[in-house]
Amino acid sequence: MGFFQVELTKNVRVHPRHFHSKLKETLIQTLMDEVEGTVSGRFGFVVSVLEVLQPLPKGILREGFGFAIYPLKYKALVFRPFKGEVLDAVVTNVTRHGIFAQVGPLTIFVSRHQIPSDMTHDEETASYISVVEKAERIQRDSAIRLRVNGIKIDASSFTAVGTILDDYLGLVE
Amino acid sequence: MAQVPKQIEDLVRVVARAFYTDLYIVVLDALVREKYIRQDLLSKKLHVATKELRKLLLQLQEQKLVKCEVRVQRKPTKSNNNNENSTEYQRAVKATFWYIDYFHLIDVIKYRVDGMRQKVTEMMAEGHVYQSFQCQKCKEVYSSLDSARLFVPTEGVLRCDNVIVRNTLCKGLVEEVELEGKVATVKELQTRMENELRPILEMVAQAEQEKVPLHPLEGLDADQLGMIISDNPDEQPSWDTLREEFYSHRNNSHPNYTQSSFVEKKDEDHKEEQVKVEIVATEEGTSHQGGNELFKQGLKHVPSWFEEGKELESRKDTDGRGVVENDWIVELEDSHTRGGESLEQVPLDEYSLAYYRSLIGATNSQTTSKEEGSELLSSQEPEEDTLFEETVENSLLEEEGIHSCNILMENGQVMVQVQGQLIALKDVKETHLKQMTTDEYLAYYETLMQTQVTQS
Repeated sequence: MGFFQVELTKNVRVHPRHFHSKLKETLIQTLMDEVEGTVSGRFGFVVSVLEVLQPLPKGILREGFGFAIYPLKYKALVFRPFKGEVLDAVVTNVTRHGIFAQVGPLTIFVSRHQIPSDMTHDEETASYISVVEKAERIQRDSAIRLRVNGIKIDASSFTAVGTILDDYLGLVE
Repeated sequence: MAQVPKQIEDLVRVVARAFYTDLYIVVLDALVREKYIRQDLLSKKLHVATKELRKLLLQLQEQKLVKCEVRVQRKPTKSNNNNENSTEYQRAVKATFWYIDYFHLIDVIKYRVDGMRQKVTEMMAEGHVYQSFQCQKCKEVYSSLDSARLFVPTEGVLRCDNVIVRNTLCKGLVEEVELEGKVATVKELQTRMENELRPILEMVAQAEQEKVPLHPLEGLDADQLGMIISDNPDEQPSWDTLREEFYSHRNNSHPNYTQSSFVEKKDEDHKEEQVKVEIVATEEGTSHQGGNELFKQGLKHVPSWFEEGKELESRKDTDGRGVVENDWIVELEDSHTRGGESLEQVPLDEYSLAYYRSLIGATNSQTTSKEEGSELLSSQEPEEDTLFEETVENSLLEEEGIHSCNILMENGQVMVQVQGQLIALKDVKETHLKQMTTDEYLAYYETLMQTQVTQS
C-alpha cells in the first residue's frame, strides 16, 4: 500500500484569543483540522498528523492584524498511490460503464473493458456477474483487488483508473 | 567447419524473410552459406560496398543474430636472399570475420517473439485504459480519469460538468466513445501476427532438439584453422604481391630497372590522386615485349583494378592516335610522375614507356599530315628510336614549361615556310610576314624564339 510517513511544515494562524496557557493544544488541534484529509499533488492524501516536532517555534505577530503565525513542523501519514500498484478497494458504485471503487480517500474507476470478459453487467442488480460461476459477482461493497493503470494528479485532487484484468486480480473472497 | 543442422539453417532463412528486408535477407543467406567469412570477401561476393555491408552487419549484430571477431594475419613473404631458414613476414593485417551466432539463435528468436506479443498486448490495453467519453449535449470529450468526477451516484450515470455560460453547467449525459474499431484493428493485428509466427515457432521447437555448435570453427585444429583463415581460395592477392609479380616479369625486358629503386621512388612520389594510365602494347613487341600477353600469361592473378580496354578502333576515333593492335587500360591509385627529376636519373617504368609510345603515334600522324604540305621530310623516314627519344625529350621539356617545335634545317640554315615555300629565317622580312598564313606565322614565331634561346 502506498502509505508513507513524511515530515512537513505548515504555517498555522492563531487568533489572539487563544494566547493563553492552552496555546500548545490549540496549535496542534488547529494543525490537525487544517491538514488531515487534504490532498497535495506531491505527497498525496494526508491521512493523519502523527507528531508535531518539539519545541514549538515562536510565533510571529502580523502587524495590524493581531494573528500569530506558527511555522509548525510535523510528521504526517500520507497515502500516495502509484501507477502499477496493486490495491485492495471497496466497490462503491457499479454502472454499465464500469466500477467505481474506493481505496481510502481515492476513488478508482475500473472501465468495463478492464473487467474480465466472462463478467457481464446486470442492470437490475447493478453488478457484474461471472458467466462461468454465477456466485461470483461484483456489486456494491464488494472487495476487489485491482491494479492502478493511470493516475491524474491535480493541485488538490487525485484521480485514478484501474484494472482487474490480470492474474490474481478481481473479487477478493 | 562445424556442421550446423539443416533445420537451424532453414530457421535462419525463415526468420530473415519474416523480420527483415531484402538486403538483410541476402546478407543472412550469404552468412548461412559461407558460415565464417571475412568482411571484405563477403563484400565482394555480394557486390555490396563494404561500408554499407558493415552497416547491415552491425545492425544484425546489435540484434544478436550475427557475431564478429577480429583476427590478425601475418603471411610469410618471399625473401630476397636464398636462405630458407629465414622467414620474413608481411605487415600484420587485421581482418574481421563474421558468422551467425547459432548457439544463441533460439533464445534471440524467442525473445523477439515475446517482445512482439507484449507490444500488441500493450497496444490493446492502452486503448482501454484511456477510454474516452463524450457529452451528448455539448460534445465535450473526457478521459476515463475524469469519470470519477463526472459520476452522479444518485442517478448512476455520468454528467457533463462543462461550464456553458457563467454559473451554468452543461449536465448533459456523457456516453462512452466506441472503441470497437480501434480494438478490432489491434485484434486483427494480433491474429495475423500469431498466424505468421506459427511456422517459426514450430521450427524453433524442432531446432531446440538439435545440437548447435558454439562456434563455426569449433573442433578444428591449428592447421585446419589456418587453412580456413589464410588460404582462402577466393582471396585476392594484395597490391604488393601483384606489383612484385608484375615487375619481376618486367625486369627481364628492362635490365636497367631495379625494383628497389622503384619502390623507394614510388613511396616518395606517392600521391593520392587517381591517375589513369594507359598501357599500349603491340603484339609484335618492341622494347617491352608482350604487352597484354605479359598480363595474360605472366600474372598468376589478374588484379581487381585491371580491366581490358576497348578495341582500338573506337579509341582511334576518339583520340586520333596511331594504330596499335591491342591496348590495355589500367587505373591506378598511384601517380607515376617523377616531379623535377630527369629521365636519366629515374628509369622509365612500363607506364611511362607506354605513354611515350602513344605520343609517338600522335607525332607520326602529325608528321604525316605535314608531309602533304612540304616535301622536306618525305626524303627520309626518321628512325623509330630516334623519334622516340625526341618525343620523350620534347615531353619532358613541355613538362618544364618549355615548348619545342620542329625546326626545319636546310644546308645548315634554319628555314621557315612562307606560302608553302621555304625561306631562310635570316632572310625573312616584313613582307614575308604579311604573306604567311596563321600556321606558318606560328611556326615561324616558335622557330624564332627557339633560335634565340639556343643562341643565348
